Amino acid sequence: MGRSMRAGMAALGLGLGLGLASAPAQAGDGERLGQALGILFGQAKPQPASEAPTQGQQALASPPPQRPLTEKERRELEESQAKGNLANALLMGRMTPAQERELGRQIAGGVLGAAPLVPDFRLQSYVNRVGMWVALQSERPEVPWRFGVIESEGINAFAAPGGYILVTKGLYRLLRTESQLAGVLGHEIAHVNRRHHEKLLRKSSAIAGLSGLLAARVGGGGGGEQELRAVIGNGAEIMARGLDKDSELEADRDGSVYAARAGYEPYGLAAILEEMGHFGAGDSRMGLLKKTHPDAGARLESLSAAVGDRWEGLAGGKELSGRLVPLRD
Amino acid sequence: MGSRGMGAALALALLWAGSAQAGQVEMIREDALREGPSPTAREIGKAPKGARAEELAKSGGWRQIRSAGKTGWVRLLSAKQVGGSAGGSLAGISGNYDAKRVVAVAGLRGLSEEELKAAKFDAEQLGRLESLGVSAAEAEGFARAGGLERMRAERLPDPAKEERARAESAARSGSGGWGEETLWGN
Repeated sequence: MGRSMRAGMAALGLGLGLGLASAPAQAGDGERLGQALGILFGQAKPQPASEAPTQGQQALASPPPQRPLTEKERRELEESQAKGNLANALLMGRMTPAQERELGRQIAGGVLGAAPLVPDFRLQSYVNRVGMWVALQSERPEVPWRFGVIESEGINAFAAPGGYILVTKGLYRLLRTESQLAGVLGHEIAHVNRRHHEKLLRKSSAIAGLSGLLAARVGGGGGGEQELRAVIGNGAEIMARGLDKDSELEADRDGSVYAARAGYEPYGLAAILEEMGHFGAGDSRMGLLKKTHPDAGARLESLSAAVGDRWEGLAGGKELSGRLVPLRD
Repeated sequence: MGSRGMGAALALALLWAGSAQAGQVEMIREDALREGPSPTAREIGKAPKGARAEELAKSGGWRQIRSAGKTGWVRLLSAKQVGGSAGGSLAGISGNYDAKRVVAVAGLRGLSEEELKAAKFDAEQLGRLESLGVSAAEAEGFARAGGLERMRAERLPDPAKEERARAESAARSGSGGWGEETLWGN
């Protein structure tokens, strides 16, 4: 059994390698691409020094065996392992929670580099309590969720894999009730739960990423870092690409339902969408959101069609307008 | 409200002069017009998709509207505000209109694509974000303090998918007849 499986896998590897070499333009399937990349790059398999003399320096990265690892070294090793296989795991759609978290760190850390957290602990910890409560009603309560309000007057919110969610000050300013905050955070939580960004990255990598990955490999000879950069760039730029329309509409539906399950009135997100419809076409605060999301009216119509009379039994949901922590400026 | 409210009302009147009248809604799907904010309230008419109406009030999942001389209630999500509705929903009902929210203010703009592309990873800020996390127990205590109770709500279906399924089953039920030929055959 073991032998025949190995033989089968070798044959699969050969087939993939041949397919890839003869017709790279047909690599439209992320999973196949990921497997092929794993074979091409030989990740997790140290290459003999004679075959790869330029990689000699990298061998030093493994710690000497005679000394036990310090806590810091162990963590760094784990992080580098997660990062090393990250691009591959992402393209195969097989990320571990640690890898998903590392991908999210790269993206969220980049967005924070462009727009830092609002320095208001009361506000930030409030948003984390609301967000965590809403996330607990979702399909993935165990994710280490983190929420933040960032210094941007743009009206937008960002979700990164692994549970990082950032809302701009401009969007927060539109809120009137805690239920609206719950709806907005619910929408972002849904993007994480449905792995919308991972799907986008797989799709875009399948179309364009392969040549970039190969180029990075040939040019630098590095480990996972360069392959990762080829897929996600600086991380933050993923947030400028936008998801597809269906993902946004799905997140509107799921996010509203999470808020309802959390005991809020379920129309909070809809109220904010309605509010967005009031902004002038040329208002630069809506620029990025308009570029990356379907029109607010279309989102309302889709949500309306999905809800129909389904929420008539949902009585007693709360708005909690009095508890919303205001911005200081 | 006082003078601030008056000022805001004036600003809004100027801002939306010439666009839709304040408090206007448009029906985004057909709904029954009912006497009260309840699915069991007596039906007094129909509000077709695309119809414009004046919004008078909101209550729970319902809006009170006046259209073609009739006043009644429709589901909240059956209509959306149009144009200068901020006059109704922001200044009129909530009474605490904040000009910075909707009025375009020079110099205010959002994160741009260029800024995101040029962004550098900020480990210190990410560390701060990590430190903000709260436990499930903390979140539950916070919910209790606000009187929030878990409720049952099912995932919502994708209406576009349902629409496609309806169209397909309609096409199937017509198969063999000339209806299908009319649709597909040429």
